[in-house]
Amino acid sequence: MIAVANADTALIERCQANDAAAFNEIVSRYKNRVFNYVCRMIGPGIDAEDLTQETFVRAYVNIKSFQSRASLNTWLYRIATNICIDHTRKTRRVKAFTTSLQREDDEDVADVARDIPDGRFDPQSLLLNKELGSRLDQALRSLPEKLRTVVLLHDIEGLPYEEIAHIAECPLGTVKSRLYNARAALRDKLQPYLEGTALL
Amino acid sequence: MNCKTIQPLLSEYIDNALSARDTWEVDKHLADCNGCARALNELRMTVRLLGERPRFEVSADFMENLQSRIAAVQPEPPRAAWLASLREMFRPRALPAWGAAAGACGLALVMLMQRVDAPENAAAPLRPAAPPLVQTARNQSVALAATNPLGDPAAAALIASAGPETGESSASVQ
Repeated sequence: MIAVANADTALIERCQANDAAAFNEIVSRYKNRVFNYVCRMIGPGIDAEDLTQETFVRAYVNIKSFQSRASLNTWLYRIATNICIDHTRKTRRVKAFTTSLQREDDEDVADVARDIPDGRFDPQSLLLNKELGSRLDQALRSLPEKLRTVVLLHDIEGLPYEEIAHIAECPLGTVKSRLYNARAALRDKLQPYLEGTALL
Repeated sequence: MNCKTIQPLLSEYIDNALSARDTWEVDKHLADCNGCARALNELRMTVRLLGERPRFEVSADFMENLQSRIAAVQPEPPRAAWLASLREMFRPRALPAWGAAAGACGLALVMLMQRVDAPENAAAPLRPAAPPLVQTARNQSVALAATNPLGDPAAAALIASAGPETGESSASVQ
């Protein structure tokens, strides 16, 4: 971890000295992480790649003002978070993300639910089930931005609470409570498939 | 601890982020509560599913497209540290905290001004009630003073005792 931070610091110093190759290295190192996060935030597609590029363009423009109070990783996620939130607000795509998981409210979902085999109580089958993954993605996108940001950064991107607090600009206690609320909301939406399931 | 206090701790329990004491409390509760044990199991499953979602990767031409976008912009010169701090302080998301502080100050100022401007009698209900006899005498005195300031019986007695030259005036006032 420290080695990565040192390598990042060296790259930033080279960028600040107008070394274009150093910035390319930063992009190569972080592009998939940022892209995955953006995809989970707004949904995969052309917009996600566009917003990922926008993240790196903003980083490039502001790289000389970057101060190593935060890690490069944290800084990039923070830029990406702001861009995703702005994008969501501008395009008003929230409606598309609020797909209900209530079976009776959604015919497609009801069909999917019926298609899930009896082996759903087998954890291995459950984990591999594409439809369940699709349900989880829908449930993620239906979460409020603040909860979604925290749960994505922690449970998908693997960031510690402290870094998430910096990215989301909120106290540590708020990160913990948002994480619990997000996980509980997802659990509630996946409840029919989790009931009776035992961990491996 | 009961179920209501234990459940919000389950998330941190999964992450091994609880203090030793809280972990012990949760363990103790879980040993006796099937409902919370089930909730923990489902929460763990949810976290695990999240961690196993496939990761997206950028398209092959990502770098090429990014290079063409970057070619159109220039890095900004570094901002002074104090300027960066100032910008950070006044970021839109930080404003609600400042707004709340400003609102609290404003409210305090308004309340202070109201106390200063308030008429004397506005504070009267806060005073302890005077005994009825004293209150009656005070009311009479005030009423008399309002209609004829020289009609105060005590003042008249003083005038009378002072001498005959003032007695006329004291009689006339009565």
